[in-house]
Amino acid sequence: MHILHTQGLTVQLGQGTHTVLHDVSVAIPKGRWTCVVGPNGAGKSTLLKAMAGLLPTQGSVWLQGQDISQVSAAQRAKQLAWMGQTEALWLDLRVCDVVGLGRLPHLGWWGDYSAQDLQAIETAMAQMHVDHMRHILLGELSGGERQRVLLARALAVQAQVLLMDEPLAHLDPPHQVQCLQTLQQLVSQGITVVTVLHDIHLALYAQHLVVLEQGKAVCQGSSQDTHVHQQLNQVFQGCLDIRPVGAQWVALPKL
Amino acid sequence: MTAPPQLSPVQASTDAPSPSFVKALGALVILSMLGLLLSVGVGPDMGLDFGSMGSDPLALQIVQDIRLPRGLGAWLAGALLGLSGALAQAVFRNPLADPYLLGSASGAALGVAWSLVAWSTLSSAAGEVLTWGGVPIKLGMTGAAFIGALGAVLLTVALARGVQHTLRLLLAGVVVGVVLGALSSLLMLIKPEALQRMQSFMWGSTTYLDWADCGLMGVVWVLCLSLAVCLGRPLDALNLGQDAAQSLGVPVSRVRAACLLLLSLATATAVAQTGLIAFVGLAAPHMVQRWLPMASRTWLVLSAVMGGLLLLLADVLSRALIAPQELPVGIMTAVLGGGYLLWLMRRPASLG
Repeated sequence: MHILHTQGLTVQLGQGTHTVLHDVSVAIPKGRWTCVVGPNGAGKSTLLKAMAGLLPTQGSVWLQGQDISQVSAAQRAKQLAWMGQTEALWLDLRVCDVVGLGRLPHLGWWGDYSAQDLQAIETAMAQMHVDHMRHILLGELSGGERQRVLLARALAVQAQVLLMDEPLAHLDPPHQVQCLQTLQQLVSQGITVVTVLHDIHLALYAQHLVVLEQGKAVCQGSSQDTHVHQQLNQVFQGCLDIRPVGAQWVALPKL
Repeated sequence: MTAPPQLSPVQASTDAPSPSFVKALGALVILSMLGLLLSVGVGPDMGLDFGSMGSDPLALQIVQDIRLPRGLGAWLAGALLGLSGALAQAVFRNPLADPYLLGSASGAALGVAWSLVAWSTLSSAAGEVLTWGGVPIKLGMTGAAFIGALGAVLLTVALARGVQHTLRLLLAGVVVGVVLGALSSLLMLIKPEALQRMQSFMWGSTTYLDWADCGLMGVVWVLCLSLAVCLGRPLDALNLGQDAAQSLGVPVSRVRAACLLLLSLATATAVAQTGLIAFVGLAAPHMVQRWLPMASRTWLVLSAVMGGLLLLLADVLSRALIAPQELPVGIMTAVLGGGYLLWLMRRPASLG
């Protein structure tokens, strides 16, 4: 069962001179964690953005059986949350205000929070362990703390589909673990999570992999599938050694 | 699913308005009221003498018909300028954006100059048109100022090829301001009858504000402020980046257009009644941000109230400094505001 899929997705940037994605058709399984992997410049972030409906594309993106270009922006924002890699930040904003922006799709004209909105903000801040710094300004936080605030902002939307570009960037190992545990917990509740991760080692913890190379979807399948591992290794010029350790597959650099 | 955390009273402070916002708003409102009291008390031939006012019908009339509308009008004009400055700084994400630097005030002034010329032509052709306390003329002037202000902002943004590049935006604003100012002067040359009215207008003056002006500015202020509060959260989302805002369902270009419309309307209404009063729109949002950083919707409200307080105090000062004569308030704010800007320039980090 696929909650999100693309058909013949082609994305050109820079007045059509540079084609970033060529005819990409991928299907994201519902209620699972999918990771998009591939070498630098393969188009991972672009694919995520296109799936969020943020880019003009040729081809189509389908969200829960609806063409995303036909869904209103307000409706889409409730169903699908997207978190970018570099969000330019107004550093004079308090943590709770930033996380609260995740509720924007649910707010009325006047912009007052309901009890449900406040609950969602509290839950998201607790999940990312930023609730103790709620009144601190974003500009006063470290890179990793900021990242957690932005993650909380994405979680506060409480969307069915979460698209996250490098969610673990700037995080130290304990917070990486906490973040991944939170994502796994959301997946166990039926939420669909799609991440871009450059770290293959961490990506192998996802249930489903989409492998991109030079703007083309080379392969997609279970992260346990050795065929997927072979393709992955090929895309990375054979420099990976993917092997099982207990029940978990790990990727070691072949030196 | 984990049990959702219960809201404690402390946690509920996530919700705006935060206690510090309420305190700051209260302080500014009380200060404004004190300023209004002071403004009513200061003037030629009359010190603070509220005791005898009840028995002196002339004093009562001076207060009712001249000083009270003047003080209130000064506050409202300042509040409009403070609001439009905050809107400009929020939408351009640029702490130096203000109605003057964007050229919108010069555009509004050109609109007023044009309507003054049209008026003097009309009144010489059709006799006296000052009916209904001059309300139609005030509305006409405000409308012309609005068209001028909006046109000037659009011209500035077009010349700067977008709003992303700070230096280009400011340079374009200066160019538009100078050119439109020159056009205003040209109009005055063609139609010297309007010159004298235009002169006091160029200096910026609160002297002739009456109740009709207050009513007009009050209505526009309430309208603009309510709409600005609605735009507050989308503006915050825009500050996370255009993509993030779009992903949250914010109609980015419509929000920007609404901001430009609102700031043009607020600037035009203030300029049409009081003339060119510089720096209030730049300084008020700055002071609030420095004092109490906060989300846009509360910041917009406080900036507006702060703008009112600043212009009211400048007005009192301009009357008190060389009493019984008075300085045009625009000259007062230019000197004070210029000083504030110079002081800011000594701290480059704050201009971010």
